[in-house]
Amino acid sequence: MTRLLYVQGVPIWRNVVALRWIVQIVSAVVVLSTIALFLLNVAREIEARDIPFGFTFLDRAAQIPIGEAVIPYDPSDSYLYGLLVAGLNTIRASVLGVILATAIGILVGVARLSPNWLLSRIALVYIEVFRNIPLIVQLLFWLTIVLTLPKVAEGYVIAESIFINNSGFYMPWFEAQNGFWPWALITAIGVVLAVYAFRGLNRRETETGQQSYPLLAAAVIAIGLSLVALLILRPLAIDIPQVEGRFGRLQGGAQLSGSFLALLVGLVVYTSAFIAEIVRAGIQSVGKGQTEAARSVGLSGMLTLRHVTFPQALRVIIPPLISQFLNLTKNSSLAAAIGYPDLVSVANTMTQIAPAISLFMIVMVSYLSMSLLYSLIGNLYNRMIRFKAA
Amino acid sequence: MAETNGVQAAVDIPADKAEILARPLEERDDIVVCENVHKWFGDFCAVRDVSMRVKRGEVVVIFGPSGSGKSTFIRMINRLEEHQQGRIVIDGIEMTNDVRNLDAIRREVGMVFQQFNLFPHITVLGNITLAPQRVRHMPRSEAEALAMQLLERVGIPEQAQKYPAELSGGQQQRVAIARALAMQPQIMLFDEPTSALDPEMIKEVLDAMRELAATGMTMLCVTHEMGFAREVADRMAFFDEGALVELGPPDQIFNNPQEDRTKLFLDQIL
Repeated sequence: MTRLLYVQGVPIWRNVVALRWIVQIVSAVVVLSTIALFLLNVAREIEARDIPFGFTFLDRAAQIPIGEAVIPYDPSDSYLYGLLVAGLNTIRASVLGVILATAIGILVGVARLSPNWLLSRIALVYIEVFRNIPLIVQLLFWLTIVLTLPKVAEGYVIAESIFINNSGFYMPWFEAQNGFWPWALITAIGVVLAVYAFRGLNRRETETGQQSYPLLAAAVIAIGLSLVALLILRPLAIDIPQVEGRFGRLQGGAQLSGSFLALLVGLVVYTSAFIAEIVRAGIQSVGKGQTEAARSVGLSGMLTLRHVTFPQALRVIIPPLISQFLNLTKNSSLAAAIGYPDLVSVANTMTQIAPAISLFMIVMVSYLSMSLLYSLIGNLYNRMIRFKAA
Repeated sequence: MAETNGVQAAVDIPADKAEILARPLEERDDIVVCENVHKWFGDFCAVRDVSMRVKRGEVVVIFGPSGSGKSTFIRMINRLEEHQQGRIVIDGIEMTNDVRNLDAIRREVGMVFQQFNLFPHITVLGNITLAPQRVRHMPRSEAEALAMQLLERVGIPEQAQKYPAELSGGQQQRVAIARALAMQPQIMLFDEPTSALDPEMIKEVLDAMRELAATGMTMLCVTHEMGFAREVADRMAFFDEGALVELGPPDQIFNNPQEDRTKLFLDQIL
């Protein structure tokens, strides 16, 4: 009977393979039963205490105002549509934030390594100041700055088209006309052609050694085609903000609200300080010997950066960079504190009437999918550029 | 020199080099001129008042205790270190702060490092073709043909498509030699090229260097391979505490050193 407890002639409690399996199974059981316990508890309490739950409310009219929206919104629209509007606000702030924070972070990180003493010190101060103050403090600070601007009626007006006041920043923007979609199509075709031209000329340059200016040619094709189409089709009109009505409200143009600006500046400045450190560390991780070898075969500083230092630094930079993108996206939920109607802020308002558990489950799933999407893109890119061997 | 190293039979020597090799050393022109060169790191004087002239096609082995300034000295010859006093002229080009002069000098001078410093993210072939393609604007087919020819010469053409990390130390160092040669330099600098290698790989690198010397390449080698020095060097330079203590043919250095410090050091290492 005891032979059953033997695997390959070794007692099960001394067999490495068996032990490995036992540990796996025990931990799986512990984890799964904890989760089950939690879920069952929640389900029981929801029923016992009559806590509202379910997703049927999503079709009903939300009846709450949302301060700003990328797509048209009215309080009579449904909860689901309201959440979509709020989600787009989150995406607007975080995508713009990621782009700006990356650009500024790279500049500051490279400046930090500059042999220019002053530039390097300025970058150092920037990094240390913005990295070490809590984000919520920075957001409230930027909001305060915006709120100290004059009122709408007394605000700054530049060239009768740009308005800056305590309700935000207003500037002329484009308005799509009839020919917009044909123009957009032509521009897209231009970009595709430019990419092909760039690749072709780049290949020609490496194959034949003749200077072929791929970047210049690509830019001329893409911009040229788009400009010509722009002149012929006239797809865009310029919409200038106008003062309207008794209270002097501003209408038209591009409107960036005060809280949006405060959120964007706060997120960008805070995250770019971290990105700058990541970029600095990445560049420094490439040994001095690499630069020396590149210089000694005659590569110039720019060529060394492009072909030797940067490709190697990128492998170190990408993973922590993606994690900063995730941080920025999640941190954008602090918008609730400064009155920007992002997903969390709007969902929180909705809980006054609609079931909170359902709403926050939706919010959590939304953030999770945004983050996973970023991770997926980042990992794919990382796999593309990893070392082929080693 | 061709007579002293005794391995020239197997290699073909380009016509211009053959002409130079045909003349005795004394009648050739100076390709490297250093006059009263100094270099400090902070308060520490790394190179002290060094003057040296190297003839075209000459092989100079530089040796001395660690920290004697020998590496710093050859690194100044392609401006990886800046000299702070004195004058350096490479093949008629004055080493000034003029970027154009520095680029020209770096194209004249190839370098091989102790730690190989191959580019880990590109293949062996890519390592060799990068500079000819990007700096000399050589067509890819031509650059690759040149690279293959150089890999044949150092004996590892079959490794062309591999990445540096897949190669042994000795193979990596031979790729590094091929990479430096791809820019067709007039002068080659070797900074302790065999010090990071396992003993069984030292010979293959020294063989590649011997072959290179036989083709009339001007070489400055920092190395402690005294067998190689005795066999290949035209002159040997002994550095100590940043100064050039003694400079002379191997025969003089090994059998009749003029300076006590040279004798003392050789007694320690031989």
